[in-house]
Amino acid sequence: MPGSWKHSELPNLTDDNHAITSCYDTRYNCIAWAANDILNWWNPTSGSHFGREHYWPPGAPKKWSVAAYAAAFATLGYEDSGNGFLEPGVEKIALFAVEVRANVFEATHAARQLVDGTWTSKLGDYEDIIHMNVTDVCCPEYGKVVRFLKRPRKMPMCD
Amino acid sequence: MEHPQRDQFATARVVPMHLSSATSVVATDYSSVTAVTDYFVTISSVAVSNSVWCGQEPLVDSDWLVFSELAVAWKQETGLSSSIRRKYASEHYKRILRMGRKAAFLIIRQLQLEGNTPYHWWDALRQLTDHDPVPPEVGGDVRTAARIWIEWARQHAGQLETQ
Repeated sequence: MPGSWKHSELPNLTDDNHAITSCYDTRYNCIAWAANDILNWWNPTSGSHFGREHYWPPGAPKKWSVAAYAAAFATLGYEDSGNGFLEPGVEKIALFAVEVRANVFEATHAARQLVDGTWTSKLGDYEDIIHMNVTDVCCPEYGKVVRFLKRPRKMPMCD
Repeated sequence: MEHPQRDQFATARVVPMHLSSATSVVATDYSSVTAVTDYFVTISSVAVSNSVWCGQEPLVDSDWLVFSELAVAWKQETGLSSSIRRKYASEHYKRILRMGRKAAFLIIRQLQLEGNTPYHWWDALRQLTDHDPVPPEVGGDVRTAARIWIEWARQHAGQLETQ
């Protein structure tokens, strides 16, 4: 069954490099999914006049910058990683961003690496998918991977 | 190519639903609806079937048709985005807000149709009604938030319809 997105939105996804793993769900977004939370929509708007339904980790800057998103994941124990290569016992997250002005990047998406080296992404309001390569979800909306994070894998044999 | 169901919907004679008569829609499970196009078809079929269920003289609800078109366009335009700021920046969303307070009534109807996957209507409802009946402890539980807004609207139906 096809996903809810249009091919033109995610042109790098093909029948051979991804699989849909959930239903359409507006309760959580990609940032929440990367953080293993399926009950909240993570945005740095929590507490603001239009963001009271959203969650953002206490202590993380309420900004749309890549640094603020990295700080949000730091509250879960993630730190910078130089690459997205599979490492035994290590869980990695890729942060995506688009350049909104010269040298100013806005975080747009996060993907989490699974134990077999594939990646999982929640696509906005749409479905969760597993994709072979982290760059499979690079697109105009998400931009490109700008930072990798890592932490010890909590349950080394499963996700 | 125009979706065949869109023509059908555009010419459908839809009864404006009173909130008190829309409980049968709330009970419908839309959790299996995934694609936006399927979703649109579901909306149209439910709206038409509701007119039959109500047993009233069907009337054209032009506001609902305009709202539905904008809502579908908004979802299609921003569905891939995880940023609520980007969603709210959409011109389709802004046009819904510019419909004024009558849009609150339409959003409540839309929330009833959306069932277990309520969309990001919360700030629009707050802006359009100047109310926020959802207590802070609900947090990000949007299914509960939807139920509270629908119940709030049921209690204030007359107020919403006359604004």
